[in-house]
Amino acid sequence: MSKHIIKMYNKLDADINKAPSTKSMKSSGLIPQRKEPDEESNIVHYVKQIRKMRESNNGTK
Amino acid sequence: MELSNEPTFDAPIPGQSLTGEVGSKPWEQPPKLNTVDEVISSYIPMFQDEEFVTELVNQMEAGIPIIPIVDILIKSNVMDGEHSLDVGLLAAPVIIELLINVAEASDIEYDVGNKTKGTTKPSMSAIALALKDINIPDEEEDTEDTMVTEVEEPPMEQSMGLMAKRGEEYGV
Repeated sequence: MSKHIIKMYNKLDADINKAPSTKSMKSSGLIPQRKEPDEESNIVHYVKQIRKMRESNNGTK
Repeated sequence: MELSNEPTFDAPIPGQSLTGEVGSKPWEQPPKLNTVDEVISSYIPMFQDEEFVTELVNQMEAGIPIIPIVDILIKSNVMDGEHSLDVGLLAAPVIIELLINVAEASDIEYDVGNKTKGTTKPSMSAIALALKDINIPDEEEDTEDTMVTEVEEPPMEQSMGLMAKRGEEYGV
């Protein structure tokens, strides 16, 4: 399972470090644009918060 | 820890897990926590336990990467029937980040374990394993020596009686 964890962590890390892209992606057809699952966006949010907390802790040292 | 070469008979028999009643084990029951939020909020109080954190810091200081530690944490909770494996896997990055926080707060060197190492510097665990390997041949040599001294050829006895091979009785 470690392999899966590594894969997931690296993907998430890349997503967070990636420059924020423009989110105005309109669907031009009948099929709507697929949204990211809520669970994953939650995780990104948690990880960002924890990293922010760590950075602020390191800044105060 | 010394590993013995003798076979252990305490291990479960293959297929033993299938002999129990269905639903008797915690992991065969529906998980208690079903969402990622619930799982993460169940892990956070662990990091407030001083004893647990000390143990974690010791392990990370010994050179054990964070990802295998998280792997064990998740699997043990799956075994206890706390959550399912897939929800545990989704929560893994958050637990990794929490562990990094713990490591940085206690000023220790840590390894996340997500990158293939291109450096020549071996980890502490690799050094410990290598040292263990170096010690093994000495012990083996000693045992070989004792084996050589102990083994003696049994004296040839001339078989006598009714069941003796023909000709052997007369030394032919």
